[in-house]
Amino acid sequence: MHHHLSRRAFLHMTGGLLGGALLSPLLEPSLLLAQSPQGGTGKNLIFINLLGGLDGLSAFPYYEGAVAASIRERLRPALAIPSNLVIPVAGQNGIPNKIGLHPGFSKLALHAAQHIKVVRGYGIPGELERSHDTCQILMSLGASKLNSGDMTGFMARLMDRREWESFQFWALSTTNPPDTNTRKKPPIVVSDLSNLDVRPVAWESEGDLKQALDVSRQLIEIRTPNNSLEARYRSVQLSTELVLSRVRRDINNQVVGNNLAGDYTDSGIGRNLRDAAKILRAKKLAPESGMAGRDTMILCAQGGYDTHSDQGTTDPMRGDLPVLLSSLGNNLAVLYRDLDSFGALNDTIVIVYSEFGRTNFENGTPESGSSGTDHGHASNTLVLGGPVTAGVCGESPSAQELQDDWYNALLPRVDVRDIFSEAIRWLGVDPLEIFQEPGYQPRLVGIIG
Amino acid sequence: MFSYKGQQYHAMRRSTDCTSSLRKLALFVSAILLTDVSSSRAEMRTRLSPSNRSQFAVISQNSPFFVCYRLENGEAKLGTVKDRTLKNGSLWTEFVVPKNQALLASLTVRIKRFKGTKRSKAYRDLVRRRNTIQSTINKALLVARDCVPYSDDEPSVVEFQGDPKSLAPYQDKLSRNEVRHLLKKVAFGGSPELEAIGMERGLNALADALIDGLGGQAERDKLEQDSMLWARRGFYFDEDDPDYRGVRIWNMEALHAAQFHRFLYSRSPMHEWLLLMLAGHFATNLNAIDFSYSKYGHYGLLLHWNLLKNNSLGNFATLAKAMLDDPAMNEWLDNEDNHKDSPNQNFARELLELFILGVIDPITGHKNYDEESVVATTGFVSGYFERSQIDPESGKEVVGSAFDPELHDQTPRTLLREVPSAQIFGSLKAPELIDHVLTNHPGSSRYVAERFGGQMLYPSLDEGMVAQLAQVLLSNNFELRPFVRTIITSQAMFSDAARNTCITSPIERTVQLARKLILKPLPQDQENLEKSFYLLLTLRDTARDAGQSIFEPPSVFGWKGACNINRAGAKFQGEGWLSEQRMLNRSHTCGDLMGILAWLEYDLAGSLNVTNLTSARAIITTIADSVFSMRLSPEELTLLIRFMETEQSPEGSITEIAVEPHADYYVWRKIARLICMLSDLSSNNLR
Repeated sequence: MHHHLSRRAFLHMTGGLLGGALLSPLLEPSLLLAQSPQGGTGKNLIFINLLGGLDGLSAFPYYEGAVAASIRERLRPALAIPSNLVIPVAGQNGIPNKIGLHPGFSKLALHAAQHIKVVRGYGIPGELERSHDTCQILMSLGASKLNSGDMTGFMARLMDRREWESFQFWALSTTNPPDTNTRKKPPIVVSDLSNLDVRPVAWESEGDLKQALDVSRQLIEIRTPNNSLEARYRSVQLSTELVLSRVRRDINNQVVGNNLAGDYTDSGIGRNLRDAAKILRAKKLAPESGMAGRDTMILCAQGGYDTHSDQGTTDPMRGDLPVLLSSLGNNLAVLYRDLDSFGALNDTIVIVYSEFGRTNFENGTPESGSSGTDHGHASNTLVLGGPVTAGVCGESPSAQELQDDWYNALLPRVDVRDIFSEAIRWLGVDPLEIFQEPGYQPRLVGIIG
Repeated sequence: MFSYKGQQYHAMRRSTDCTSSLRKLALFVSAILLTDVSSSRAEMRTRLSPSNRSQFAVISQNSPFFVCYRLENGEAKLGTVKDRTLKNGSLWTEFVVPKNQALLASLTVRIKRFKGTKRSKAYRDLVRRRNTIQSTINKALLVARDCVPYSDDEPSVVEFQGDPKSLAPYQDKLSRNEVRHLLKKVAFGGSPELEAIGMERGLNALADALIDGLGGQAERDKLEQDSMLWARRGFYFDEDDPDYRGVRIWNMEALHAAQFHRFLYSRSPMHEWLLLMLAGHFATNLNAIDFSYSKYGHYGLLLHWNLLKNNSLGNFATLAKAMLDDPAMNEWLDNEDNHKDSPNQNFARELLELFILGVIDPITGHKNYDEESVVATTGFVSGYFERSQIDPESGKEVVGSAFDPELHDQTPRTLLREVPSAQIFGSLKAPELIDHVLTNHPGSSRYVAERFGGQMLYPSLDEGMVAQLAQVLLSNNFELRPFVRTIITSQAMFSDAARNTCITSPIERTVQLARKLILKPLPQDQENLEKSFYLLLTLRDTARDAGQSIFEPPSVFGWKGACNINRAGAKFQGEGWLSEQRMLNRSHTCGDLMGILAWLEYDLAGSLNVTNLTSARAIITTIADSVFSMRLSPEELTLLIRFMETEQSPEGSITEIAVEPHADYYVWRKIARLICMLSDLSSNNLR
C-alpha cells in the first residue's frame, strides 16, 4: 500500500468511497461494513433445515387475494388451507395477496407473533435440478451451481473465516457434510446432549473406567495418522473428550423447557431445540463456559417434508404435514420463551429453510389416494427472533407462474443466500467473504427490523 | 549416493560434538524429502538443535515427505510434525523427535522443501497432500533401508507390482497383508479360512471363494434356515408354530436378527457386504412402511430382504426391475399411488436419480436427464398397486404387488430429449423403460460403475476407470459377478490408493469385530434362544446408535456421507460417520458387545486363544494380530502392558495385579477393555 498518494489517486479513492456509499441498496459495499471482533459479539444464529422440501404454499398459505383464489380453486382444491383457518401475519396493509401461518403454528403465533417474519418466494436461483441431494448440497454450499471439488459449506466457511472456536458452532442433527466441513477447527456435532457420555465395559469399576479412558487417550495421541482421513478421524476422537467434559460441566445441567409455551417434545426437532436452549443458556448464565461474548451458530434439522402423498386432506390438521408443522411450531414456541427467560431473545435469530418448495398442483385427490405434492422450486419460510419484527418480505407469485402447468412450481423472488447474508451481516461479517460464487451480490431482504 | 528405481539420492551427513551423555545415544535419522512437483528441485538441509547428534538426510522426488529415525534399541520411529511455515517462498517443516526413556534429548530437523509461492497450484497440491504419508513411509523406508517398517504391514511398494489405475488382473500370489486388505475392503474382514485360501492358493482362488461362497448348498441352506428361524418368528407368527416356543419377535426386529445372524455366520461374507451396499443403493426404510392393514403386511419386508439377498451377485437390471413389484418399495416411494389419473413423481424421480442413472454423468459432467424425463418416467412406471397374495411357503395371505394396465398412463411422451442415443418418444412399460435406459444411456452404466466401484475401491475413481467399469457392465448385460470379480482381482484394488480410503460404516465395524470375536455358533436351543436373540439385537443397536440401522436408512439416499455417495459430483469418504456423538457411540459398540458376551458367559479368552498365556505382552500382541491384524509400536505396547498389569482405584492410586486370562474378572475387566481400546484406534476404523 502506498503511503504517499498523489492528489489524483487520493481523489480517485475518495470518489470511489463516495460512489460506493451512493450505490443502490442492492449492493453492500464491504468498505462500509463494520467488522465485528473475530470471536463475535455474543449473537446467536439458529438454522433449522427442513429436509425433504417443505411445501411453502401450505405451511405459509395465501388466504386473501387472487393467489389464494387460484390455489384454492384450481391448483389445490383438496390441499388448500381454508382461509378462515390461516393465522394472519401482521404488517400486510395494502398488500393484495395476504399470507399467513398454517394452523399448526398456532402455539408459536400465540407466543411469538410479534417476532415472526414470513419470507415469500425464496429459493435457489436459476435453473433448478429438483433433486433433494443436489439442492441440499447447494443450500449447504451457498451456491447456485455445483462446483466440483469445493465441499466447504457456508457455515463451515463462516467458522473458518472468523476463526471461531469449536464450541461456537454446534451441529445438532444429521447434516449434509459440507455444513460442517471446516478446514481449521472442527465444529461440535452431537445429536442428543443428554445421551453424550462414556460407559464402563462389562465388569469395569469406576477406577477401571478412569484408567481405561486415560490410556485410550494416550493411545490415540501417540499413534501417528497415516493419511489425512485417519488424521481427521483422530482429531474428532480427541475433540470428543473435550466436548464431553464441557457438556458435562456447563451445559447438561442447564434447566430449560417446561415454560409458558409448554415443554420440548421427545422428537428429533424437540431434542435439537432443547439442546440449543441449553447451549445458549449456558452461554448466557455460565461464565465458565467461555462462550459469553462470542457468536454462536447452531444447526438443527427436521426431516419428513418430502410429502408426495399423505401430505394432507380437506381437514388441514390431518396428514403428515400438519403433524410436522405442529411439532416444529410448538417446539419453537418453547424455545422462544426460553430465550426470553434468560435474556437471549434479542441476540438470537432463527432461520428456517428447506431445499426447495413443492409443485403448485396437488397430486390427485384424497379419493384417488395421492394427496400430496412433488418437488417444486421456490417456497415460503419464516424467520424468528428478537431482532425480527412481525411482517412479510419477499414477493408473492404472479398469476402467470401459477398458471404455468408445465413448470408447475414457484419461481424464486428471493435468493436464499440473501436471507443467510442478512443474518451474517447482522453478525458483523461481510457476506461476500462467505458467499464467493462469481456474480453473486447480496440484496437486502428485510428479515431483520 | 545410492539409487532406487532410477532416482538418485544424496545422503548428507553432518556430525557435531556431542556431550558425553549424548554419546550413549546412537540416533540415525533418515529424512527423505520427496516432492510431487516435477518442476521443482527438492532440496534438504538440516539444522541441529543445541543438543546435537548426528543425523542423515536423503533427497529424492515424487512423494510427500516424512522423517524416520531409529532408536537406540533398534526400533524405528516416525518423527512428528511440529510446525510448517512458508518462508521466502519455501515451505519449511519442523519435525520433533519427542523425549522418552530411550532418548536423552530431542532433535529438531528443519527441512527446506519446496520452492514456490502460496498461490501456486503446486504449493496447494503439496499442502493438500502433506498428510498423506502412508505410501511414502513405506517407499521411503525402503529407500532408507535401515529403518524397519513403522507397522508390521509389509510396505505396499514392495508387494504392489502394478498400475494403481488399472483394472487389469493383479498377480495371483498375495502377501498376508494383501489378503487381509482385500477381505477388509469387501468382506467384513473375512475369516481364517478365507485368509488361508488367499495365502495358500492365491488371488483367483480367493476371488472364487468370495464370489461363489464357501461350503456346499447344504451348508448354505442350513444358514438360511437358521437365519429364517428369527425371521419366521416375526413374519409367520402362529401359536401353533413349533418354532414359536415363547420368544416372540416383532417384525423389524425379526429381520434385524435374521440379517445379523447372516452377517455373523455366513461363510460368504462378501455376499452380505454386497447386500449392505445394495441396501444403501435401493434404500428403503422398511421401518417407515405402513403395512398395518394386513395381518401379514410385514411380509412385504421379507420380500424386500429376499430380493437383495438373492440378487447381491445377480443381474443389476433384474434387481432394478424387481423393485417395481416390491411392495415395500412401492409403498416407500408412493408408486402404488402413481396412476394415470393421479400422477406421483416420487418413485420415477428416484428411479432415475438414485437407482439407474444419476444426476450427472461422471465422465462428461453433463446432466443425465431433465424434468421432462421425470414427467415421462412418472407415466411409464405408473399402474402398480398393492394386493394380497398367498405366500407359497406358509400358505398365508400376505401383502404383494401387481400391475394393472387400466391404471397405467399410456400417454406417449418424450424421454431423454437431450441424449441422442437414448431419446425416445412413445409409451413404455416400466420394465421396458429400465432396460432402455440401462442399455442406451451412456451415463447409466457409468453411474452404476462409479457408485459401486467407488464403494469397493475408493471414492475418487478417475474417468478412465469409470469408463472401464462401465464397459464391463455393458458387455456383461449388467451381470454383477463379472463386475465384482474385475474389481476385486484388479491391480487398483491392491494399490495404495485403495487402502484406508474410507471410514468403515457402523455396521461394517460392528460386524467385523463380532466376526472376529464370536467364533462359535449361537445356541438356538430353547434354553438359550432368548440370549442369542439379544446378542443379535445388541449388534443391531450398537450399529444403530453409531448412525446406521440395517434396512432403516434415514432417507432414500441411504446413509448420507457414507463412503462414495456420489451425488451430483460430491464424493465422501465416510465423513457422515464422524461426529462427537457418533464417535462416542462407535466406541460404545465394543463395550456393549463385551457386556452382552459377559452376560452370555461367553468364553472370550478361549475363542481368542489367550487363556493359557502368562504375560500381558503375549495377550496384547495375540489379540492385536488375530482380531485387528495390527502390530503395535513399542510405545503403545508399553502403555498397554502397564494397563494390563495394574488397576486403578476411584481415587486414582495404581496397584499391580496378576495377569490371569483364565479368570473371569480379568477377562471382563482387562481383556474386554483392551479389545475396545484397540478397536477405537483410527487405523482399525478405515478400510
